[in-house]
Amino acid sequence: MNLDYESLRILAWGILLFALIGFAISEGISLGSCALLTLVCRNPNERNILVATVAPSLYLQQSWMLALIAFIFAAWPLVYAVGFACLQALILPLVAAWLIRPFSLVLANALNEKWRSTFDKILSYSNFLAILGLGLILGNVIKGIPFHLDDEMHIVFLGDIWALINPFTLLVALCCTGLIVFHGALYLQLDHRVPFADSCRSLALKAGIAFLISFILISLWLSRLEGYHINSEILTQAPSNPLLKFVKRGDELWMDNYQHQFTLWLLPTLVLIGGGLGIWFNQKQNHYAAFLGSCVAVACSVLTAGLTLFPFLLPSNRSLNTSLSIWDASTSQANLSLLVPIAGIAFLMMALISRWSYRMPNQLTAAKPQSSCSQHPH
Amino acid sequence: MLSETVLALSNWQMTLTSLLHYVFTPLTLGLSLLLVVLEIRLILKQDASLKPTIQFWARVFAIQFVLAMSTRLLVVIQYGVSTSFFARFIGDNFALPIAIESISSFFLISALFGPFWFGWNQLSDKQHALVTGLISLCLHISALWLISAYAWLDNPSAVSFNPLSLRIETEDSWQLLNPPELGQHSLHAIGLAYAIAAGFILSICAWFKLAQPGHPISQHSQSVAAIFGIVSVLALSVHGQTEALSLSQRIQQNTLRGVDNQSLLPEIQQHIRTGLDAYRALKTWREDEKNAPLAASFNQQKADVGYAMLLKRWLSKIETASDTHIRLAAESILPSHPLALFWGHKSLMPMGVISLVIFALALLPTAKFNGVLLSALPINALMVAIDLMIQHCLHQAWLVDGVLPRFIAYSSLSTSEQVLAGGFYSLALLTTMSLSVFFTLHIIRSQQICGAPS
Repeated sequence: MNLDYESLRILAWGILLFALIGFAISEGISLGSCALLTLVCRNPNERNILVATVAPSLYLQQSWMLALIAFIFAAWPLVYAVGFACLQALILPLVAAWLIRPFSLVLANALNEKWRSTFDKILSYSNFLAILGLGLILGNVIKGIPFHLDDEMHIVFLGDIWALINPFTLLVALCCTGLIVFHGALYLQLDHRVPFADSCRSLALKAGIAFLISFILISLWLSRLEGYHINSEILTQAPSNPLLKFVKRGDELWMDNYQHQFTLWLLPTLVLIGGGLGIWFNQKQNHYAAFLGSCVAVACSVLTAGLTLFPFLLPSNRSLNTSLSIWDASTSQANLSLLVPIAGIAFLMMALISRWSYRMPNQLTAAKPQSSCSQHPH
Repeated sequence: MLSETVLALSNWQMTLTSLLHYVFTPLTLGLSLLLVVLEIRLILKQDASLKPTIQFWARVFAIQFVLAMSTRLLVVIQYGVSTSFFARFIGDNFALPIAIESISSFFLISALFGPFWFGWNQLSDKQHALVTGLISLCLHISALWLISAYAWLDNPSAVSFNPLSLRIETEDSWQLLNPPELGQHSLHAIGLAYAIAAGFILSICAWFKLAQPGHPISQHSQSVAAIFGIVSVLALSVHGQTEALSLSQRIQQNTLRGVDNQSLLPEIQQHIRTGLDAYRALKTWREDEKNAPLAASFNQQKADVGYAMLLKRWLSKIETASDTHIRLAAESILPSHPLALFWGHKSLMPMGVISLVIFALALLPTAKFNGVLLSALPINALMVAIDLMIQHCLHQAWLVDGVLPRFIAYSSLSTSEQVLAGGFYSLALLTTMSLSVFFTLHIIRSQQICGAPS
């Protein structure tokens, strides 16, 4: 692919946003559904039905996370290195949820009721923690992470876990929790015959309202929050070196992009419209439309965050100049020339295959009680 | 400079994650092939008695698959958590094949697992065999991508140091994806994978046969496992070391042959001195970027900058290194415990022969050797473990051969942070491994051989 470095970086950033949307929608289904397991299921039969709904596409949903991380590692190695080195304490709950989910959903059926119930509780709580962890990560990315790159580009984390937990990041975590619970609850209602549909509807309403309120609060807070701005010449064709720029921080700077490009206001508007429609259709029991509404809310939330931060990927609130942007955190031009077309096509195929896979639960499994002597491999 | 405690803990964390990933991924490779063979046999012979055997191995496969997928995420995360400098400095070159694999074959495996595991009732035998075959194919393609990434670490080609970004950057992506000796690495890795998988399957077959002669699982699976095992062990024995090209390969070859590496010390020290000259040229050039002779001098010598980095273990300002420091640095890349590595390597041949004999005995239509067949897994597991440990010890000094010493690659964590992280990952890995063993034994003991699915 004979594109210049600047174009490749922009395209890679676009693919990153697309991958983040895919991850948020897919992993949001897994996290939301699994977190609700002990809340909506009142007996083993309902539990089995929920598992049968989620389990067939479990690994496909989780593979979005792995694909996203691998893509970030290959295309934005500085972001990968700084992100995982500094935010590992918040990533641990996500890892725990990832590890527990397949055992609980795929293998625990071989055990007796008592063990299954224990696995279910662990699954539910770990997924709630993971959702909070995701929200805290996003909140810290917006606020800035306390890291520094020295002269030889060693990454130094200048804070601790308590520096990452503050009112703003907690509000973002709450918003994230509301959105993912909303998303998961709507997904579980797609098959309207499920016995826990009423519980899901009620939870979706509460979570949806909590999400919309917290999203509005975050937007208001963000308009006053200190943002970041590159103050020196932006070298879009230069090799990736974050130390070659100057960054300033100031109030309302995160609104810069919205002031320069008015159409960007469409994105947070679509979040509110998507969320609102999701709630409305949920109450009208039009489950497919409600779920589409939540997908729009999720996708536009990701786009809102990404475009608000643009061109930054990981700002540093302690060593401003070492903040990572799309112009100085990417891999080499040679790597991007190969990776961008492959990733562009692959992520699109992943989205199409994922769309097909969500038909699977209805086609593959019958929603019936598990017998004690199973005639199925699991 | 990181403390020795942090270095040791980081090393332990990386080793444990990699070890568990390398154990359970081979089992999925071998079991997937076994399932493909059995399902094809089911279609050709229309023998309904094969179905319970297939479903039994499918459950065992599912457990190994779950664990391999779990440890897969941990491996990908570890490079950022434990070795963030490596990830920043050179990691994108290593990650390129991994990223391509994640968005292609890995994703397809994930998508196909649903129909494979939950589609017994809805898919016909032919459709299910197709799904199993595709999973097996994608697993092998994934394995080849990963082998390509790890083979590149041993012989980093098609890259060079960029003084403007202070990173190693790719010069030729296609050559990066096709490193030298990829064929050798692939044959060796796949051979090891099949050997341990065949041993695993054969041991389970022997256990069932001892409990009940003529057990259907043994009847249908034993010969397949034996043939896999014979082919894999022969492949491992035919594959030999090619002519060593790089300095590191010569050091490794000498160690495995029991030859003293002291004769290579002057050459290593020369590399360090060249690297130091390049480092000094780089530092001066960064203050005066218009100085073309300095840039030229650096470019000529930059290939050895990694050797100069070895001095960072003793000095933060390596420009002030004395001859003693250079000698210490040179000695640090020689494998420690060369005698153990030599004898470990020597022991692989007789273990390979024993393994071959066990697999051959499995083909005989007699029950006399059932007790011996039980040892197929321990023997092959030991052989693979020794091979992995030898490879790990031979590459102890470098994370990227000749470019990035291992101790520099680690993240700048405090001891308490490393203890916390290491503790969590160790607990997570050991718990998942225990659960895997528990579920596998549960399936074997319960002998829940399902009837025809309803």
